[in-house]
Amino acid sequence: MSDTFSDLYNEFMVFVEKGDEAGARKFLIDNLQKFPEEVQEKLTFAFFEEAMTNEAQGIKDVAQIQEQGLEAISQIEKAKKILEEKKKIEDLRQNLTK
Amino acid sequence: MGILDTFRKSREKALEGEYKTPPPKGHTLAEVLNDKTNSHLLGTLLEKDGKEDLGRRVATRKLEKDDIELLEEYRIKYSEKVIESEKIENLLNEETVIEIARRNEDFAKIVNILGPKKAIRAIRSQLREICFTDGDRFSSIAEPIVEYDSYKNGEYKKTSDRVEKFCKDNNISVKGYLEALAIEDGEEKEKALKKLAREKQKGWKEVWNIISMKAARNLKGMKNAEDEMESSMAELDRYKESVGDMLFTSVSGNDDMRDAFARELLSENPPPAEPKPGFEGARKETPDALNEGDFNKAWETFKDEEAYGATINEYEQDALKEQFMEQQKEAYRKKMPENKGFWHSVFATMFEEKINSKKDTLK
Repeated sequence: MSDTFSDLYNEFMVFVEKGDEAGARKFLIDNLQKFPEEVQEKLTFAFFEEAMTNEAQGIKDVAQIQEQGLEAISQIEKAKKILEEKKKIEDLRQNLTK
Repeated sequence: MGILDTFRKSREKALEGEYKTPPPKGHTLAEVLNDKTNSHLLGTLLEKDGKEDLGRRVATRKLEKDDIELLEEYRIKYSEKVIESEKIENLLNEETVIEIARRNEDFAKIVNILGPKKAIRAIRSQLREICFTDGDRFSSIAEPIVEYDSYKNGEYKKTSDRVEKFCKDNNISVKGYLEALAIEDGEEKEKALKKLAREKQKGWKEVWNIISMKAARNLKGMKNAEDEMESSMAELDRYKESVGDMLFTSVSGNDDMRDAFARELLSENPPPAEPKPGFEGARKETPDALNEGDFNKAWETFKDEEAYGATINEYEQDALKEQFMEQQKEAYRKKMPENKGFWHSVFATMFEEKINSKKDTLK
């Protein structure tokens, strides 16, 4: 297993030394199952950690904007109520002039 | 009398008259020491506190009577850590992992390769590991997991439901709202949001129509109605503007939000990104590849310091090798920056495995 890992390690380092991030990522994914079990677990966790962190950030952003949207929409509610009040006043005025 | 019997008796004596709470299942000292998957984590705790000698005596099955009291202290620490980790582990299930994978292309590939069951097992196992080895990293991943769980089951869901209800009550299309938010071009987004804000007022037009119809029927009241209408329209315009502006302001200049909404809307994976700054940073910040010469020299020094030549059995030799490798890993970790990202973790994994692979060469 050590030899295999050494080979994989050396291949991986070629991408790293070239600064080829996309290549390095692809290499890790394509060769995941060739790595020792413990390395597989650690790599899986690193990918999970990245995805989870992005997901949670997205959730926070969505929640934040939803709050703001909610506030904006509440303004419409208020405007609608004001117009309804005006309608009631107008109705009353119309009835009084009959 | 066995070591555990001795320990039991000494504990009973020490705790005479006190109320004793038995450890939870799986957390007794004997169970911890016999747990092949997790017993090394007790060793990790010992090493962190500079109690390698005790760790080595555990590994070489040469426990002394006084060690047991100390081990019990660490058993309690171990137990607390396990409980802390389990709390987070239990928030993750296959469904969660699949959902996260659905929104992340690379992680989706990993889950497809391993299958969700194996992926979740790996994640839980690593969570447990870092809970013992790297408290900061554990906290930094525990937080988004809790956040996500809270979103799925708690307060964020309530907010989301409230938004949906408001949209429904006010004839606003949630889809239209999200589509507008997802527009990349600032001007176009502003237009779309203002259009949306105007469309929402259809219901009010009916109110105005009723007012104007009644006014038309009554010439005397017409002027008043006209005045009323004008002021209502002006008022409404102000609201229309402020609603549009608010919707726009809430998203303008925040690309992360836009992206998050685009993903939410389209259920798409994020586009293949430009190389993230983390890669270059990690490349520069992490130590270079293992230097074989330095590694071998360090081993020779360690052997002299620890009287490796005087060891009498393979257990002791093996324990010293493990201790040396752990020292090498620890030295590597110390060179790493505090705020680690994906690539730091990957480089650390590769480097540490490289050290592991050298174990057989240590003579």
